[in-house]
Amino acid sequence: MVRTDTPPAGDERSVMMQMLEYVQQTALFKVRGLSEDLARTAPISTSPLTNPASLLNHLRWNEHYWVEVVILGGEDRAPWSEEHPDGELEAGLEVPLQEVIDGYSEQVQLTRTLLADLDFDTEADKVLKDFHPNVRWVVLHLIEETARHNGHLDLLREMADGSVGD
Amino acid sequence: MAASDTPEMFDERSILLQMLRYSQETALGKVRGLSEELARTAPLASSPMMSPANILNHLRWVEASWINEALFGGESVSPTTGDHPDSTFDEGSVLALDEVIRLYEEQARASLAVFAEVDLDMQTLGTSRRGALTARWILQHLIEETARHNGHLDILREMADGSVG
Repeated sequence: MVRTDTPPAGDERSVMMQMLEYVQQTALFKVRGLSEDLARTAPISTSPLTNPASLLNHLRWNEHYWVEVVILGGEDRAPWSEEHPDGELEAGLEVPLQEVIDGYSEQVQLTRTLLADLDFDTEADKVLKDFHPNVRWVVLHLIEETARHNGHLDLLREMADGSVGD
Repeated sequence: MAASDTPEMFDERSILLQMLRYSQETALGKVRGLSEELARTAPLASSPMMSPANILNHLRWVEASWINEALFGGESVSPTTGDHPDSTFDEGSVLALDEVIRLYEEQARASLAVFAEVDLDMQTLGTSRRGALTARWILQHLIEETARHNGHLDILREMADGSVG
């Protein structure tokens, strides 16, 4: 898949879905090619779970939560709990890197399929603490959050093996 | 830092403006309160220009360039030249930190004012390697690029003084 932020057309849905795909593909690009060891290395001593594999696993379950639980009202299948609020980060350390990558890639496909049927004005099934989001807001939030984590992955990757790039 | 990403209304322009404002406020929140020295510290040996002050300065020129040049087709305003491709970053090391912050706040307000009014379907007047673009693409791109740099600032700030959030 070509990683690009250039949309096929200039309308709202085309631009937004292309931007989502771009940030998702960038997350994968930043993690692919790392050794098992480097993918699990957390170089910042104050954040021992900030490593590439854990962040990609976080992005996977975060996307599951926003799309399948908040928008569609489905069951929360993420490995986090009250006892293990960072369970999805920890789970990224427990399986081979390829499994983390495959899990994220599958979620990305599922997200695209599920969103394709939804009008951006559709209100989410869940009402959050402060507000009631619609599909449009959730997609923009996923772009923003994934982009910010891509910034983390940029520096983690550079610290891991010196490689850089947009 | 009281930045919120929750808009009052959920139409396209409202959510995009609020998300840009949130990303801008986050960038400012990550840089404010640093000492002059820590704001200029680039902890990655392989990226000696990646300091908080330089990133915030870069973000100001990113907004100015996309709006003035790409959107409205104006002349280049940024300090970037062929000889100094990274001037938007390293200018941040020359200016006082307060000045870097003030100039970013000024640009951030100006950018929000433009996107509050412009037709989001407007075709860009400048040239771009991406071909024809709309105003909405530029607005979304600024959100994406600012958020990604905020990820850099998260880590730089944590390495500078341990603060997170």
